[in-house]
Amino acid sequence: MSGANNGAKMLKIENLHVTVGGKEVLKGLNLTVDQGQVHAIMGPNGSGKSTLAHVLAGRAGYEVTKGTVTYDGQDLLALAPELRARKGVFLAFQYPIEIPGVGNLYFLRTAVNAARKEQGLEDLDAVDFLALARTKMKLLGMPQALLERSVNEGFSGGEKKKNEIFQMAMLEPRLAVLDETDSGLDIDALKIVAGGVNALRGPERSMVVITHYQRLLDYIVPDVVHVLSDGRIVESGPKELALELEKKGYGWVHETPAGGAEAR
Amino acid sequence: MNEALTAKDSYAEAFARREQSAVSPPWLGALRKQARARFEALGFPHTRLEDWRFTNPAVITRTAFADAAAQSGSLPAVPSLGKWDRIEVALVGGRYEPALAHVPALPGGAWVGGLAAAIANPVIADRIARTLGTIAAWQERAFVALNTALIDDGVLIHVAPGVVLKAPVRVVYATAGDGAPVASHPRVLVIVDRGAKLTVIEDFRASQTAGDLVNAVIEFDVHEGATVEHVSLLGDAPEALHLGSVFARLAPGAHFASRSIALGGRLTRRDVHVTCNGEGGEIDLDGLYVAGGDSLIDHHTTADHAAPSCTSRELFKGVLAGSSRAVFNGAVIIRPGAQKSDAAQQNQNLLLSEDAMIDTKPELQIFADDVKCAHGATVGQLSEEALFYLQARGIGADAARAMLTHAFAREVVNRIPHAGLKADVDAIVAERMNTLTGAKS
Repeated sequence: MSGANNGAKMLKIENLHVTVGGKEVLKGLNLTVDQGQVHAIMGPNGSGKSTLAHVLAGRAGYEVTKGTVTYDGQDLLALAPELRARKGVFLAFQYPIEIPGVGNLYFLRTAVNAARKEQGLEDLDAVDFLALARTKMKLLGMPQALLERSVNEGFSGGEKKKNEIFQMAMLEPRLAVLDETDSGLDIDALKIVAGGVNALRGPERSMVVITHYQRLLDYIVPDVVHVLSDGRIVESGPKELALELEKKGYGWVHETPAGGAEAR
Repeated sequence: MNEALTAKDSYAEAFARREQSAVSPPWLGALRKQARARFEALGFPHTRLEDWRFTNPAVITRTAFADAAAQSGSLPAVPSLGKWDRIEVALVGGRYEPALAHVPALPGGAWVGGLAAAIANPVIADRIARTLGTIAAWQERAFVALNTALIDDGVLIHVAPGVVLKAPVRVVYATAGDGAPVASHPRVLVIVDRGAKLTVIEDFRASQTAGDLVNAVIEFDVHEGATVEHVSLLGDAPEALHLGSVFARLAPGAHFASRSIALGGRLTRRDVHVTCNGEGGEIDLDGLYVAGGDSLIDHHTTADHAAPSCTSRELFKGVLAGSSRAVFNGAVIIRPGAQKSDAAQQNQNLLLSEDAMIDTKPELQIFADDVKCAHGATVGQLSEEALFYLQARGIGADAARAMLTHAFAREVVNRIPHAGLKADVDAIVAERMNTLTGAKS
């Protein structure tokens, strides 16, 4: 790790164009996230928010036709999804899937040890791992019994979202991308999840929080807010921008397409 | 054609040796003779027979095998299992091998040992004479006839009324060959009396030697209210030839579960035939087949409801990679008068490559009107979504595939009631999934 060095570029996306199923969804997206910062990306449905999240994680089916993504000085797009994860990129899925037959505990230990191996660290043994997992679950108010189940199998919507943040807490990524982590959560669950996310904020870790609603940003307060519209960042500003958006609606940014910070 | 003749003739020596066998009470001599005549009349099977339509047995029927029973050599190693209480017996080339047996003091009324020795013992001989060959369909199936024509040793397991044998019995099958192809025809007879309980594991791993044929037959006579749990285990041996037949006859209220775990082999054909002869019998037939390379694994099952109010439950799952092939043929017969029969059959397959192929065929013969009979078959691929989820957490593509195929297979493994055996089989299956998907263990 490069150490706490605020101001260093954790993520730099330049002129990113992505097509999905032959249709261009991202149309020249620019975004720079410094180390230790939390950036929120807001935007209406269909603006390309989830596409951005999936492209960063390396999902197949998203074709990058132009542009670059640099993560911690490396060409992120050249890496297989598992390598991105091992190097510290984490995607909290909007819709975490159920994987019957794969035990939660076994799955997570394999994932953690894959990342440790990449960093030249020894495997965590089963006992240490379990102790660590129990501590982190408690912070998120998750029943320990969930560890014994298959990945997300039979979990409620809220438990699935908590499980994503729990995995993030175990994996300690350097760049976390949270894709609509607030969707489907009631206010109590939202507070717990936000608390879990905030506990992970630190000078070495950057976060990209993708959301449709301002509500989440009351609890995870971003350093910078971006507005994504039609595949481009059309507005960037301090956290107050989210409140303004909430008041005026997304229609407001469409009227000022030349807007702001991303004009280069 | 000449090759086939040579192959068939190659058994003449084995037949002649059995005629000289020291284990030849008149009833056994007669059984062998009838079975041999039946084998000669039936001839080797071929793909023009419905029963062998998808599986060409030529690699077996055109090879002249030496008689494994005539071989001697050093004792083969017994494949490992975890440390839990069990009774161990072993057949090497079909012959009972006392040096590999571990039979602790059994509860009164239980018998586990060599078949030849039991036939020579007046305490049990009559029971064997009345049962052996009355359950296995040697009149109809050439390889079963061949096995029956060559009986002179094997394993006998007998559990007397009401006796519960807590420790599972493992039958280890092994081949001690010198390199030239040999065929063994091991035979096991299991008699479980009224209300008795037994678990039998057939471990074929040490018998799966390259180029050799094992043609095994096991018969279960399950009496009223008795419970039998049977697991057969075949490992991954790309050049092994295996024919395995399981026959069970169930009296009223008997419960018979048979689970076939088959993880490879050049040609593996398993026939599991269970007949409910009494009211209220319960049949569980499960299977897991895992094939890669150019392996072929064929399961033919029959749940024969010959009495009313019996249930049969069947789940067979397959994972196929490379250019492997698998066959699942599940026959359910509901005989006239077998009202309130309840049969359900599922066959699910995961194809990991475009060249792998499955032939799946339910075969329902229903001659009663008040019955429930459900069946279904699926063929699919691994979920791309699940693969990506695992990869997005840092798990390599091969390891992720191994994890997901293992998860798919686990549903079958989890049905094994014995905790120790279940854990062992689970670990063996996990290891097999690693080799199948190219993941490191």
